[in-house]
Amino acid sequence: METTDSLQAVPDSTVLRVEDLVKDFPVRSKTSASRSRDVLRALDGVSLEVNPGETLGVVGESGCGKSTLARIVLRLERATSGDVYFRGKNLTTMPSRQLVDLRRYIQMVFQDPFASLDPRMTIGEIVREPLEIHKGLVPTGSEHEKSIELLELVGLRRADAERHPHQFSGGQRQRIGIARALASEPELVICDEPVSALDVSVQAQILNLLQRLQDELGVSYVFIAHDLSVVRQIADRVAVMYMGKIVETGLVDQVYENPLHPYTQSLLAAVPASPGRQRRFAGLGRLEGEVPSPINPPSGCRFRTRCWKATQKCADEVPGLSAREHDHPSACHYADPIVLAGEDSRR
Amino acid sequence: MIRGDVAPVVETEGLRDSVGEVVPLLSVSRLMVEFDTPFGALRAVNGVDFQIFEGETLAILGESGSGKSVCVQAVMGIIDSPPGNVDAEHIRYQGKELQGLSESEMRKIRGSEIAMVFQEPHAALDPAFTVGQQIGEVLRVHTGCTWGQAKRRARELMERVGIPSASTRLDDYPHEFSGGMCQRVMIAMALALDPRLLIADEPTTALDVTVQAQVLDLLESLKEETGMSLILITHDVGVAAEVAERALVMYAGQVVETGPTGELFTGPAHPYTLGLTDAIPHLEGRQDGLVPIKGAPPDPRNIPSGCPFHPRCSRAIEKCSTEVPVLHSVAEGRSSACHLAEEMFRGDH
Repeated sequence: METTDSLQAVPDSTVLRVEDLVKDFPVRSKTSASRSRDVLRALDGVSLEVNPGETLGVVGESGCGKSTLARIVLRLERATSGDVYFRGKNLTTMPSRQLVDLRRYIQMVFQDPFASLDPRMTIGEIVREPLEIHKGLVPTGSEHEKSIELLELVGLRRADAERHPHQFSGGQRQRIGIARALASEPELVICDEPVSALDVSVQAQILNLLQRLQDELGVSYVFIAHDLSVVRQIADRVAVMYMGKIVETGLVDQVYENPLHPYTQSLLAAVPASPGRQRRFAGLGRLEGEVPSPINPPSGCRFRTRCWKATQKCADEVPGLSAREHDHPSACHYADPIVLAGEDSRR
Repeated sequence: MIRGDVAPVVETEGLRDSVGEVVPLLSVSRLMVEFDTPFGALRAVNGVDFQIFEGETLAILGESGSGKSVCVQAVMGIIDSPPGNVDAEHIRYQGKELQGLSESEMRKIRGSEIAMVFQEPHAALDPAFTVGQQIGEVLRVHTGCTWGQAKRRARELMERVGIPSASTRLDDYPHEFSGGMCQRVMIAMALALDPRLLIADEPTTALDVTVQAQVLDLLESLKEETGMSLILITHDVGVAAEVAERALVMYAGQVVETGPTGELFTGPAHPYTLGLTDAIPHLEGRQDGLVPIKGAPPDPRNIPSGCPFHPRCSRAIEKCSTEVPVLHSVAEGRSSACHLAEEMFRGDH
């Protein structure tokens, strides 16, 4: 891991670099009668990197901050503190005017293909719109041809350009969303739960499409999902989030084969097995309870209230994200691979 | 208890023993459900047969629009007519025909014999009443007990489904509960009258994976305690395989395959079931490209001729576009509605 203090010397080879991102949302206090405000810390010191042509999977349960992270990277939301660098340029401090030009390079694919396309526009118009906003991407007059090319790239037909979103199925709409995202030739596409609204038979089509487009175009993805199997299929590296923090990160195989953080271990153990296979870490038992309120999170390690390894140290000291003696970083004082023998499991 | 410890094969054999000549708890034959729409009749369920036996867990697996929810809504008699039209050769509960029962007779079946849990727990609860009032109301209406008795029983039920500090949470409103806790409230309500059959329609789809595991565990242990039967409607092959002994795979309003989950998903006898299992990514490792099913599920207003799956099927032959394949037995406990079922079944074994 490189040190983070040399702001100018951020290497350009990294597509996205997020440093110590914090996001607070003010919320009305529930307990006190006065108008005092509580703070919900949605992101608490998140750092990550995305390299060219790579897919970083971000997994976690609802409320862990993964979508807030996406919105801040796209600057749809302002960070409370911390920085987001795209190709070495700091997006968090960039004037809006400049940001518009840069947005060309960072695009997004949304979760709900039924809500993310304007029902009054034709497919051709939807895909053409980015080309009209970002002038100079294609020679004037050839926008239509380019939009057809994009539709064909994602597996739709030329004739589809004249049709409206309601005439398409969910999977096809997601293809349209992907074509639009790719129109401005982005280097980074943030995919926020892009297949979770789709039927399984169609989900595989979209995953394969995203994979093929990456191979052909060299685009990087941040792939946000709650489905751990989907992330294993598509990502090169993965970051596991819990209550606004990354608790474990590494190559997909490292994290899935050899999870070190108790939360990652429980998460993997909770997924039903593929037919004919045994559930992973079946002897681990169930993670009990629920995610505590983010307004008043536990001291120290935020997972300690549900953790079977927790000690006084976990309440006193926030564990840092570091590799310790292992091959990938995790944020646990007692990070260790699972040994499922005898009394080691928690029940 | 940990579910993964029980090998599915063992459960399957247990089921076969119990089948014998026993009358099924619920038996549905040639079920047909149509809805009138401004664009013509929409056939949501087209000739579905199924049975569930005492103490059994049956999964109904299908994608959106396959008719899996409409099937059980028809059984429960909660499809409004118009626009819905339900027709069946029979819908028998404990040997008794449910079709033609009056609304008040049906109301006695619903809740006390067959209860239901829905997908969106927050949408299924009334935001204006406390959960205690809502669970209590079920008891008051059906048993005529006093509010005090109802409230005491509601607390017991909430404890039974694992809601911490039930006696204080009784007076909380639905919005004060998380999704997982709301689903527990729904389950408590469904259990209030000790039903023999619980129908859970996508009960964990809106929940996070660790909470899903807790809720599935709860359903399983309640089933064990009470001996009730469970119909689990899901789109998730993994959930179906882990929880149910037997599964029914639906496509375009029809049952395309049925059998014990252990065999069904590892050796399917219908191309759609095979397609589903090939299309899902695995937690255990990355595959070199998933094998998707081409195209998309059909519009229920416009079901393809012959086998409804034929336009998406890689094995389709000429016959498939003209002749509707009937669901027929390919082995003990296994049925498939495919013209090539025998070949597929042999090929995979």
